Amino acid sequence: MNINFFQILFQIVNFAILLFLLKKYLYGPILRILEQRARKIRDGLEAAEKSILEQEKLEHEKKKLVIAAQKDAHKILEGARIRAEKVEKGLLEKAHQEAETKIQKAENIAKARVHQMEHELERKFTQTVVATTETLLKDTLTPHDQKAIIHAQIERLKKMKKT
Amino acid sequence: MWRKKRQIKVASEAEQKRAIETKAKAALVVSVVALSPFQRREIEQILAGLFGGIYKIENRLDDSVIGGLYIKIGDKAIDATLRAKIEKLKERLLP
Repeated sequence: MNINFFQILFQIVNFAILLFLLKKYLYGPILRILEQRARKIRDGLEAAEKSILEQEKLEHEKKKLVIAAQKDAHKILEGARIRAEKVEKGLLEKAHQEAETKIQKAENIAKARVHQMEHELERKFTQTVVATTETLLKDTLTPHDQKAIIHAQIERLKKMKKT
Repeated sequence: MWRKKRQIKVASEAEQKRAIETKAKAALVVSVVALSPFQRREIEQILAGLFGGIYKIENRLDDSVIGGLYIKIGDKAIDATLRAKIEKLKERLLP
């Protein structure tokens, strides 16, 4: 077995040239393309991450806005509820006062009517008593009684004369 | 003579009575029963004592007075009837 150094050298040079050529015209562009692609992917990932972060930020902002809006809505509702309660209370108080006034008025009218009826009853009772007394006296007084009354009146007039 | 004197005396008494009657003021007395002559005289004396002068009573019967006397002389009146007492009682009782 003979070793051909020249051929080996030639092969080495040949391989080096091939390596150089491959590196210059094949690996170089391919690596550049790969690097560009990798950069693009990296940029895309960065953009995606950025976008996710932005989205998260937006979500956070949205949540904050929703919470603030909910708080505002709650505040508004609470205010409206308090105002409604106040209005309701005011209306109830007014209605209560009106009812009390009406009751008082009705009581006063009833009292006045009762008083008037009592007065009327008393008047009628007195009139009846007087009329009955008159009738009784007219029916029961005899001429003898009448003379006795006249005598008593004359005696009284005599006393008047003396005084 | 005596009879003549008596006639003169009677005549003078009658004249006196007439004179008194003409001077007498009218007093209206209302009652349920008629007044006796004695009661009339008594009332005349009372009126003379109260107001002075001589009075002649005109007794009018009216059962609306119920009892007692109502005496009216001119514009003066004494109401001593049961009707007046009842009216006073009515005034006191009525509110």
